[in-house]
Amino acid sequence: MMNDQIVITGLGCINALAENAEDTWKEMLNGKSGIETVAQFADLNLQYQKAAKIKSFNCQRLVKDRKLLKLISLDDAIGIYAANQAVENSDINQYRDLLGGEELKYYNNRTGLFVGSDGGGVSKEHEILPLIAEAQSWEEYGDKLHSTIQPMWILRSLLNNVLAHVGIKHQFTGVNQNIVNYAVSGFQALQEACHAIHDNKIDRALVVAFSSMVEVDMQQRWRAQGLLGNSDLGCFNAEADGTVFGEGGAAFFLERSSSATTRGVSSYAQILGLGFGSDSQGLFAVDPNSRGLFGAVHRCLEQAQISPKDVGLIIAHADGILTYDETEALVYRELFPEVPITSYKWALGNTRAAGGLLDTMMYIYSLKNKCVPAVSRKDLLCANAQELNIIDTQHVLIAAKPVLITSRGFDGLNMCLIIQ
Amino acid sequence: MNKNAQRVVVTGIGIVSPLGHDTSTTWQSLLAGKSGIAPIKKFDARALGTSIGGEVKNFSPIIPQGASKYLQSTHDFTHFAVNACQEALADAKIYPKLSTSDRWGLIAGSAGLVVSYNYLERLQKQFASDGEIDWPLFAKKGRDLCSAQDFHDFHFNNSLIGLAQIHQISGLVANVNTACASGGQAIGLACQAIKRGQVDYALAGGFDSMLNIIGLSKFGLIGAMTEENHSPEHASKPFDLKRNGFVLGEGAAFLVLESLDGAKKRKAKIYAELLGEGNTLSCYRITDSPRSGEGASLAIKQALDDADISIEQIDYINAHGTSTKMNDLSETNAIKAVFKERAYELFISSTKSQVGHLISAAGAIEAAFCVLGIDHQMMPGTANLITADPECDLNYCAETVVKGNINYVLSNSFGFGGTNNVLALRRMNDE
Repeated sequence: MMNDQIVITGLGCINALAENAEDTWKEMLNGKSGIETVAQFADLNLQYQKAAKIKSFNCQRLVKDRKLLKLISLDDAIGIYAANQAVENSDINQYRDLLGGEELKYYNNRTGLFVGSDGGGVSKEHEILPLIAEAQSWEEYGDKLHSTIQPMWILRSLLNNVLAHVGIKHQFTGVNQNIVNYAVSGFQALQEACHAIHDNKIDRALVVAFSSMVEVDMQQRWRAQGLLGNSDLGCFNAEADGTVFGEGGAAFFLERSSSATTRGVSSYAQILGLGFGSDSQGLFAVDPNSRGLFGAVHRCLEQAQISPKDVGLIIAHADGILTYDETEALVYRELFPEVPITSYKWALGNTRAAGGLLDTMMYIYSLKNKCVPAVSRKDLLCANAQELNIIDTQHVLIAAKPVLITSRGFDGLNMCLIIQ
Repeated sequence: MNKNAQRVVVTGIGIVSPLGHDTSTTWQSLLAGKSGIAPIKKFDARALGTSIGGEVKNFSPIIPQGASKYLQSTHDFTHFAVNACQEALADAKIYPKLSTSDRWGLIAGSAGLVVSYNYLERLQKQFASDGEIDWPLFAKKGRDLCSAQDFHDFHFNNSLIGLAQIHQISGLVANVNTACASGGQAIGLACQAIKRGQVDYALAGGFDSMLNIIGLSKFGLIGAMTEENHSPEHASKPFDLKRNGFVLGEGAAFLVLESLDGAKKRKAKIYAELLGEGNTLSCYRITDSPRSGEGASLAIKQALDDADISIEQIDYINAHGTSTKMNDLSETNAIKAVFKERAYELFISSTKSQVGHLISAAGAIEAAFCVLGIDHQMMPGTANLITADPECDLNYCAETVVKGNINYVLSNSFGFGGTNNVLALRRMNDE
């Protein structure tokens, strides 16, 4: 187990169901799914029309700062919104208001910032299209570059925008990382934050993850890979026809439990361990033996210093792609044959980089309300999931046992988190 | 500093740079004062304000057997990375195997620009005749516009996954992107992972190329690059009064890192010890650094603390030294803030004067230069520093190779967005 107790004291999120954790939980508990037919996709008659898009998405409403809006992409707005909410929810600004001068500077220097994302969509590169259309020659391209394209183009496409702008707003000047590693990015950012606290490089950190893959160009790109589906996401559904992407951002404020105690705030949950494992054979090659996920689970259990029998619940990645679901179920069948399993993608879609943190956030509400939302319906289960204990009714938590949460990438990278 | 932490050493180096396709050629050219900066030949850049860069010249990639087919024809920067990794492992005389796979990490600072001009041009020609995408037409006929290769090229961690697959690395695979600090941060992250025992070995570094139409257009729009196209080899002049912007470069550099105990056990050649890192966020502006150097100075202090060394011990700093007015002054002030009077005794140089700015790979190649400098007891100076800037008044080793007594060094990398990374290394002597 990590020697220092690292606890979560602030939450922020936005997703297809709601714009904060509490409302997301309520909607999910009521069985509401954020996955819908996207009007634009339907109008264009795209082959795959479903996604879990953030409703009434409005950058200005989310970010408010008009100057900032000129410097960021739509993807970034999601991460920045979730980050700001977590900072507010943690109440650290009230505490910082009590500090002054060098004490405040030291506090900020001991506060880290860690971001995980999938790098966003292609649309931010479309800004160059008018210039390509207008220029008939290279000479003309060069001549018209400055008059046709805004100088801020490069800034809007920086992959570390959320890190930079959240840092500037909140003055978190300590250790930082910006991980761009698709589905495991959020948990990798969380892992680096925990290590930095554990290694005493910082005392607290904001961890942010966000994903936005829901745009026409991206939908066409992913369609060609044969990974998208048109049905609702089940959990280890034998008839699943592919994944459905979702937009989302999630953020946690983490600190040592002693730090939380000092400033008199309660914590939502304690992080016990994180584990990484890879069986990468290429971007979409699946290892039938799931060596990567086995490795991630074992390392996570080892760090948490618990055994499989101590795990009280699994929140599965279960992204609706049969080959991935089968290999994930294989691991649970081997190690956790009786442990209750749920998944939240039926409601939130596959939010990739943000998925792990969003799932964790929903578990925190399960803990608080002593109730775990079931999968939306019990489907015909895939072969390796036949004997699993997948919960299809609202599951009451009997005891606050450690929970295992899984994030898996199409690229063979896997991460697991154990919290309680 | 955690006294129980593993000590981390460098046992392998691989470089593909504007000065050469391997470590030895690059290093010899660097010491000989050669410049890797020349007119861009990959594409016709003459219409753009800047038409010079540090290109990797006449490069023919060697793709290992069994590599993903998408690795065989993707961006140049991936090929640079493949070759640099192979060289680093061969140099270290150790390769990941199935039995050790989960004890290896692969951490890279990688290119942030992955949509090719070629794709965007095809998109425009077919679906955006007036510059605005005709979405109904795109939806109807655009399904084949994005080839499988385009898809893989756009995937930000495609190269990393390919490298992990080639080398069977599964213990930690991470892609770091903090702009110009990425390569240094990747090495720093790998160092921490070995110190804490998360992995025993790491292949860590960076790779990038923004020497393409999109990259030059983007940087050109914000006026960050020099337009001294008439004299490429003299265009990058860090700390010179007449400096007027950086020169883009491309390439890759990777280090093999491992625990000191492990390296000793297998009797590996140890180039240097990687003592620690500093890692901070300036929280100032996206493209500007504060004149005071705050943020960067904190990172330098953190690196010294992490390494458990004092300012008196540092002999040399490989500066970020981009050749922009603001960076060079801010960095100078950061060094002064930490080292006080001692700042004037330090040897400082910027190798960007000869290879240009490799963006995500910059921190990695400069760390590799530090390691080579420690090993050879020679550090390259700053080329093209002719006219002293009264505000940048430290010893930047203008056109002078530093020889001997290089025991403790720092490598600075500062990125757009405000991330500051400083690596601390030392000579191992005969321990």
